Amino acid sequence: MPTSTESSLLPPDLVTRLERLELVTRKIFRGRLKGERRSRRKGQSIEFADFRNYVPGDDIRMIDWNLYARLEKLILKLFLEEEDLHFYSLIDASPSMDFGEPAKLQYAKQLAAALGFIGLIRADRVKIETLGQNPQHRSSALRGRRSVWRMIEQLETIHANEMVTLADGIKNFCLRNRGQGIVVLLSDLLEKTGYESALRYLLSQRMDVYVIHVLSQEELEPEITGDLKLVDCEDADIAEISTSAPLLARYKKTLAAFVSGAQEFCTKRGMNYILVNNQVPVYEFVSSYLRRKGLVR
Amino acid sequence: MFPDLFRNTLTPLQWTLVALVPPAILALYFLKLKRQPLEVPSTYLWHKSIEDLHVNSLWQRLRKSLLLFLQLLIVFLAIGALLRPGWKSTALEGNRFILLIDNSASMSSIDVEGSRLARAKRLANDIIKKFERDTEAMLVTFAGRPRVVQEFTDNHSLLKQRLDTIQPTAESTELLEALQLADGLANPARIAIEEDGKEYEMTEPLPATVYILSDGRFRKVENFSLGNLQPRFLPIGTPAAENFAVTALSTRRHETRIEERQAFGRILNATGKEAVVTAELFLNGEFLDAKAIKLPAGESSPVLFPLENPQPGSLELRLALAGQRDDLNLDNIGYAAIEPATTGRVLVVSPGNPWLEYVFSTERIRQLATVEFSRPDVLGLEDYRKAVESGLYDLVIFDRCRPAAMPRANTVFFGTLPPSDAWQQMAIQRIEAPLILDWHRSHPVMANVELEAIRIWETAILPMPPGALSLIDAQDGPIAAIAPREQYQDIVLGFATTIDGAEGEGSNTTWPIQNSFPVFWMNTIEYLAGKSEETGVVVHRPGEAVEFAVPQAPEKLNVVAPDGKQWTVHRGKHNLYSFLETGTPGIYEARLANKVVRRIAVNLFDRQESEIRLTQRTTTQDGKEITEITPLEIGFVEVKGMPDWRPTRRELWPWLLCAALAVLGIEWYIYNRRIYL
Repeated sequence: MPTSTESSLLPPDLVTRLERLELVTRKIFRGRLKGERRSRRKGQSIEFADFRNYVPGDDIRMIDWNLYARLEKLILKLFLEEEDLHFYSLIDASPSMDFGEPAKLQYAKQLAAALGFIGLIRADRVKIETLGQNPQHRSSALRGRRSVWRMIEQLETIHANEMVTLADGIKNFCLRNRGQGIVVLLSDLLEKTGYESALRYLLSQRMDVYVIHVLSQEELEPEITGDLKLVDCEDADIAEISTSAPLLARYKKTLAAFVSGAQEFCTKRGMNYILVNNQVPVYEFVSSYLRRKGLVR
Repeated sequence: MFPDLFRNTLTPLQWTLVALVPPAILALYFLKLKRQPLEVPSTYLWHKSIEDLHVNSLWQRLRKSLLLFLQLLIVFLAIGALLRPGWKSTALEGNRFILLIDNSASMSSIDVEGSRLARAKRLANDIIKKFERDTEAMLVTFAGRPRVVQEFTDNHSLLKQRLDTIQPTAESTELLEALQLADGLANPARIAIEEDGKEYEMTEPLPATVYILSDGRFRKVENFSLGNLQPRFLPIGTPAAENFAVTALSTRRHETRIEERQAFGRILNATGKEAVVTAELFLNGEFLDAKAIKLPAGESSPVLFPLENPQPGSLELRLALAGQRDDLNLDNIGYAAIEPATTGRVLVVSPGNPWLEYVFSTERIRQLATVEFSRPDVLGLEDYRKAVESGLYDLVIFDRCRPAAMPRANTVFFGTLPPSDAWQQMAIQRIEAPLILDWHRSHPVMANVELEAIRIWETAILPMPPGALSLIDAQDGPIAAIAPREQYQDIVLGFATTIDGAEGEGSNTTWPIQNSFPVFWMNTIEYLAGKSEETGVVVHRPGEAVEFAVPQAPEKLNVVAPDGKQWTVHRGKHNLYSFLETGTPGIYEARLANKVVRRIAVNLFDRQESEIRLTQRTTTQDGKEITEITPLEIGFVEVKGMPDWRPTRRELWPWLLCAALAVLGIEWYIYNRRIYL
């Protein structure tokens, strides 16, 4: 996979490490194709799961004849079903994501690439979408290790120029994708109309929702001085401030309230909320934060 | 309105520049208020954050301007400091000052904080601080002699720097020379031209104010006109100062026991009450004797110690004060040098005189002096000339002969007159068979000399030079006399023992067969050749030049001061050695190849310096009695003391400057930590 290894989104050392991981979901989804995923549903694989009595209509190939010889009872031997998983990365590509070093959008793309890579190598169906994507334009699902380069290509075409509200973006996503699976929303949630109504759209889908709240170091710990005219990059709104310690303290307090509000909103509704600073290395975030949250193992 | 409240420190141009600073700060502030635009991802959180802070917008504006206010406050505090506000000051008149600072021995007294000199320096420093920018001043110290510490300058920091270098001395005080020096230097650019024998001043002499910082312990200054100098006397010290001092120490041979010496000291009680002090005598640092002396208030008492066969060395008389207050330590020790007990050297130049030979062969004379006899033809020899010029002899007796020049020794001219002009000024009258009328019985030379029974055949009537004292009077005038010459004494006897007559040499007088003859010579030897046994008669004071002679008169020798410093001294005129570095009281040793050849004691021994109490006088003014510090008398001018005069202003500028620095610190902190109220 020369493309993936050369991409800045998936550096080779990251690829090596990610190969050990796989995506997990707590919910039971019916995959469309057999995948490499051990489903919680019983099915056909070589991995033994359980025994149960035969009832008419069962596949007689599953009957454990050795048990029948010993007990003279028809006992079915159940194996774990291996199936594929739908994994969606929903990236907020609004101009506000173009801030920070690295830019929040770049960070979000790296995360999406990493998670997508894990999905692809485990034969899951991976879809990369952005909030500003046309509702009619369905992006094709990627599957298999060979699709990694296509995923990277797709990610690299994403730029922070989509002027769409969070609510509209998610609504359109839900219209496009009615299936089940894992959806990871990568956004800064800086939406003046609020993120709540937008996230509610996701709840309506039977999806395992991960909200990864990407914020830059400059937003978490602003280092600005003097009398400033802050200009909003999306709507050119202006806020005049004179920096001072109380103001900065108040900003941090407001930010903390905003973050805890989002976390509470998500947790109450069964969504997973994870705040990430763009300074945290991608692999560390995936292997540590997301593993703790149960998205990968 | 408040002429003394502020003091101008800047020129108009500098003030203009300073006045431009606040508008500049305001201008910069308003320039700074043009907010810098900064693009952010979202103003969402910022709007939420500043919502509360916008509640009181006026207060917000004030808070935003806090740094501006602090900066303006710093500038105004600095301007306030530059105005040098202060109060309670005494104005200095004029802009030319001479500070005469007394650094004599009495200024080392510690009756005021530090010492009197330290206080004088502080006061002088305060005066300098009060100077205007263009004020010129000069620093002069005065003790034994005046020293210019700093000539006229308007560099006040240099003046302060030079003021710090003033050190105390152990010298006595002489104000006159300092005033003359100050007068001379006050107008250095003065030009005078002489025309027809009269002197005309080409430039008007500039007046100067002279501040005399002293304890006033010196003689009144006579024959000095202050002229353009305005004197101000700032007395330093207190009338309640207390001091004990050794004011004299000398040694001499015991009157009757020839092997014994005596040390005479004098102790002064310069306090207001009677006291008993212990005087301790040390020889070369070893304790010899001690005596307790009762001293009436303000008086001095003698103290006498017998010294049996003392070793040569330095004799010290120290005061042991048991808990008594003593504000001046410098005068608590008196020094005297004890030279080796040498006998005097006497040269008798005579064509042959058995009577003299007989008299000088007695044991008693031999104890006092070594007597050498020479013929008159020795007078023409180089050896003789060298010997008498180097002061080898204490006494030279010329019997019926006389040298070409007077020797550097005491002399007795027996039957001849000295060659000096003083004795040769008039024709010599010779008389026969003089009738002795009287003799000077109280003079040491004539002690116990009875001349009633003697007969003289022929004698000369002596011409009396100035200062001469008649020893024997005959009916026509003196026939024996003694006269001083520099540090020597010359005795002249108009008659000899023998006379050359027609029949040859014959007896001229019956005196040699009388008892009075050996008694007279004995007295003469004791008086003129035994003087080296006495020490401490001539007092050498610190700072004064010392002249001394040593036997053999080497070309140079080393002088070791009491503090261990060494100087090489070269032989000068008349084979005398002159030494100037006598700043410290104590014994100075003249050494030749590490052998002490002469000791010189340098002592303060100045009652004026030891009486450290400031003198006061009581006058009646408007029917009220007023006690005041005795004024200085300079010429015919009385300069009143101003003990309460304080030039120091209570200056506010250091506090203003500190406040400005503190505000600067607060501003810095607020700016860096972005703290707003």
